[in-house]
Amino acid sequence: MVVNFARREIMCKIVYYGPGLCGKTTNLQAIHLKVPENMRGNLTSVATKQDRTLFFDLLPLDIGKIKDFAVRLQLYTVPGQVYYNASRKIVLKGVDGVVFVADSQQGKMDENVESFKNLRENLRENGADPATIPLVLQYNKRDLAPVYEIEELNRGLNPHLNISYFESIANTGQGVFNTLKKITQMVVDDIKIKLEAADRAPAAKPVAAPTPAPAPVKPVAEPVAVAETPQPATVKTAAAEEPVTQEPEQATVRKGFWSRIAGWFKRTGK
Amino acid sequence: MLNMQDVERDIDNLHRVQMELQKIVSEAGALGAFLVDENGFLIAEEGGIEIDRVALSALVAASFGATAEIARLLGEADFTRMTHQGSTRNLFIGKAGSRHILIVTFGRETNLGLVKLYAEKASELIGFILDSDSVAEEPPSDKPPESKPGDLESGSLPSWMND
Repeated sequence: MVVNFARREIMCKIVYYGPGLCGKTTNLQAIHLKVPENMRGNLTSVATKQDRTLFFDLLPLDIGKIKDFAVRLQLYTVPGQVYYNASRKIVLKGVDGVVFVADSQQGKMDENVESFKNLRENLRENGADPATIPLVLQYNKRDLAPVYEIEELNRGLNPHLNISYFESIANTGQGVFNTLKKITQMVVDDIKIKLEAADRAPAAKPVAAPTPAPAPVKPVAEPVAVAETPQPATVKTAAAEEPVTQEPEQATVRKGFWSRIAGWFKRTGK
Repeated sequence: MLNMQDVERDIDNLHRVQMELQKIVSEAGALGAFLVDENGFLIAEEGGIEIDRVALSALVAASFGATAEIARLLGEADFTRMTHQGSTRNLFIGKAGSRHILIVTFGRETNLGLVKLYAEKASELIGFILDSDSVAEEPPSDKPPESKPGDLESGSLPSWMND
């Protein structure tokens, strides 16, 4: 996350991760198709001639404001193939939230589990904590047959049901925006808490991302067009082995930082 | 604790960075100068070149990251400078401090030596300015954002996120 006080911008990075051909790029293409042009940038792809992701895809989005600060998301994909791990690690640098796209087709469980394990290893190697980073699971290709039951996928990837998960058919766009909405909400909540924590923590800076408090969980309230799996009560953890109990939202947050920032901008005209 | 002095200092630092970028454009005759962070976020820019800045920042940061890995494979700590030569436009990429990357685009009206001279001097100064401070921001832009954002504070995400 980068905070631009001068331009009043907060920039965040969300990475779509998963095994090869699971539908990460298709997710970004579906988002690119639907988002109004003035709210998104170009979809940039570094791909092979066969349209396999070589390095990453990138889609910038403007999603709204926190106080007076515009929040800009950058959605990235990684190359899924095993031998591109160095590229995946580079793309994961500075990540604020992860969507793990799993392939629902039978026979793909080992690839899903291996990729999920690789995600956690790469996060750790980049200095990020897989247990606290916002994470959402997307079970893609639900229209194909035969596919694993959702319970089977959860047994492999989400045994404690402590991570939000969504069913999707990315090539029709179904489930794509539910997933995006959830990870966005988690990242936005995380930002708010990090910034407020920076305000109250001694010697902390907003970009330095001090140890985050648990992010509040806000279930997606709007009705959805596709079948969505009910969300478990605790969702905010990447560590499938260790469920995390949520603390009351912003229980310890000191109020007033944003109004002081706004007042300062007003007074100084910056 | 984060306070108004921090914010003011950070904005002033970015204005100093902006001045260094201006020098590269005006004195070395570059088409544009950009500062991006190692994660691919655009921090500051100068010059009127028409280009997708978000994509440029992400691609250069990724390319620079890949180059650093190549350096490691060769037993080098780092490769700190890269140049790319095109038929009409060229690119200079250099490390600016520990966490930032300077990108300079230039055409036939100037030469690599002059660009390198100013860019390397600027890299050193920018690194000094930003490494002494852990906050990174972007200076004001003339371009107003085109979006009409909602208020995320109230928990409302854009309507286009609905399936």
